Amino acid sequence: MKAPRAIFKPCSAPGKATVEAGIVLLDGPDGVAVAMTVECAEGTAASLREAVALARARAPASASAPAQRPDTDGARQSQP
Amino acid sequence: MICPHQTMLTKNVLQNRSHVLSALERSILEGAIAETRTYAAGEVAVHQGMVVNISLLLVAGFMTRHIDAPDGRRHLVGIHLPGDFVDLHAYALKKLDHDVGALTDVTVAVIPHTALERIQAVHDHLTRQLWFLTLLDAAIHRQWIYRLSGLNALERVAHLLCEMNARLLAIGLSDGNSFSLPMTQVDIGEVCSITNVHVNRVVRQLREMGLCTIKAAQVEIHDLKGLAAAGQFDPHYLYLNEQIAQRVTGRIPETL
Repeated sequence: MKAPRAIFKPCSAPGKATVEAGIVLLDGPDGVAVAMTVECAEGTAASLREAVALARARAPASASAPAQRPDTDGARQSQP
Repeated sequence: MICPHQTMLTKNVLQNRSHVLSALERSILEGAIAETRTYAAGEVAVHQGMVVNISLLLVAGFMTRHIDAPDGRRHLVGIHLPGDFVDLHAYALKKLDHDVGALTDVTVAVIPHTALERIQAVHDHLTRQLWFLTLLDAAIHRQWIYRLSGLNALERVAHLLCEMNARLLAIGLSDGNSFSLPMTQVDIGEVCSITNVHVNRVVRQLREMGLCTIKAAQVEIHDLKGLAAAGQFDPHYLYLNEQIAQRVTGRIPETL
């Protein structure tokens, strides 16, 4: 019997960042495999933190809203 | 009449695959070869966009299909081994959407498209086997898309090493656990879309995990089952014969 098809959805297991020869390597989440300069990693980390804060701030409102595709943006959610 | 030297040129075509050439078909293919050429490592044999009226069968060495991105980065989108037609699709396309280059010093056999037209007109089964070769290329490309979209850095490299082991075993250039891989860490990175720094770290991890070592372009696999599991490698897309398919995932330990 064939297993049910898994759909693409937001990752729940965090990626792991390490350092190799002065370069920041990010492995995961999912199939992410990227090497970054320190400045690039800093900027990415800051952007991630900002997005996380925004997602947390919006969490209570979206908890009671109908299920949304994860790729729909906030502006569309706020439309009537 | 086929001389013994010429017979050597096609000996690796469809070796140990699910589809094979008969002796007659192999001799017909040998007869279609107009000449052999050599290219030095780094030379481009077929340029993107160039109109071509020949196809090249790789006889010895490693070749690449690659695309040079506008930002200057080279992406290796295919690795070719002896027995592969590196541009059989040019028979229908007449010009390629990528370059074909020599990764090592190589020897190729040149088959004019006029000779392929004669084969197509007269030899139905051989034509289907040649079609199979291009479909095999497509199957490998599909698997490479999966590798890049679904696997992390360690998994990508493990998958690539398993694939190279399988394809080289099929043509007798791997003993099933060790083989020469004339690719730098930059080359491996260009296949796996990761930096050479990332490749270096992954190679160390694979060694520390006891799965394989890569040293001086020589790959030694210590735990084939473990490496296949790490790379989520399933050789079905290579259309190998059953014995080889089982060996390349460590299910049959004996040598070929």
